[in-house]
Amino acid sequence: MSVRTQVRPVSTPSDVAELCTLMVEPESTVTDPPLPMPNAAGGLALLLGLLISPSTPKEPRK
Amino acid sequence: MDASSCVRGAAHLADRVLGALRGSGCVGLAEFVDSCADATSGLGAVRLVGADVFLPHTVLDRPLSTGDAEVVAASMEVFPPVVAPATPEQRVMAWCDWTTARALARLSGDEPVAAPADPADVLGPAEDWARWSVRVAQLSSLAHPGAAGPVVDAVLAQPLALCRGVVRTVLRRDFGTATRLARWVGLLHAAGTPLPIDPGLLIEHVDLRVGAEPRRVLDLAVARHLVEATA
Repeated sequence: MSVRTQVRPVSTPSDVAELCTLMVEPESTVTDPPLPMPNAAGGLALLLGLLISPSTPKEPRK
Repeated sequence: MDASSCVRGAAHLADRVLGALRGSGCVGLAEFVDSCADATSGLGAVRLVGADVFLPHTVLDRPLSTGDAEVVAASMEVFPPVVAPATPEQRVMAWCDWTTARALARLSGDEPVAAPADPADVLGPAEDWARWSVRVAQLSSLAHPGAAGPVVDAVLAQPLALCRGVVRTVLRRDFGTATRLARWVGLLHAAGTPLPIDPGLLIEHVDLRVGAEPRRVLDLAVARHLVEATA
């Protein structure tokens, strides 16, 4: 440490550039609300439900 | 320098500043740097927290110890400020460094330092308020009690752009940027500028969602102080 210890810390130009990057925090990119996504499993379940559902009742003949 | 230990150190230091603001004593910069495994990263952490290390002195009017002043001066020596900023990031860094150097000079009784170039260079046009507000958020260490200077004047002149920007960040759920902008909203409120949003509600809303990262908690503490000081 510069004021307490014998060894004076040093920084390289890349350290300074890295510090600049750390200082200037960009806005977050992963912040949009969740959007509806097509769900293949949901589509299959819907199709299966349609297939096993009872057919439309017909009016009995008189 | 290890970037991750530098960020961790900055969080720890922000926590110490928060403690000092809540009355637990002084920040103890020399003690903090001594406690770091890598002194370079410790000094980098001091640079990252920047002018906020002086908050207990500006808010609570505490005197700055010689040891603490030496640590800040050493951090500026090891990581020299940008002299001729070329990129937008370097311009932001130059203004943050100026704020730190200015506060250090004021508290140490030294000569004031010259400001960087035109604030319009770093902020850009306020008409492009989305991009403008992101730059303003990056310059949040300039927004503190008693803040003054060209960038502060430029932001104070654009309350609508700032409020649009902070509402956008809240809608994007970018609460890190929102906490930084909340400091500016608090500063405008403290300056008596009429705002289309309620600063108290904004701080409450963000506080519930931002988490416990000490640097963000410190941002909100500054914003809350600015709002409550004028309530």
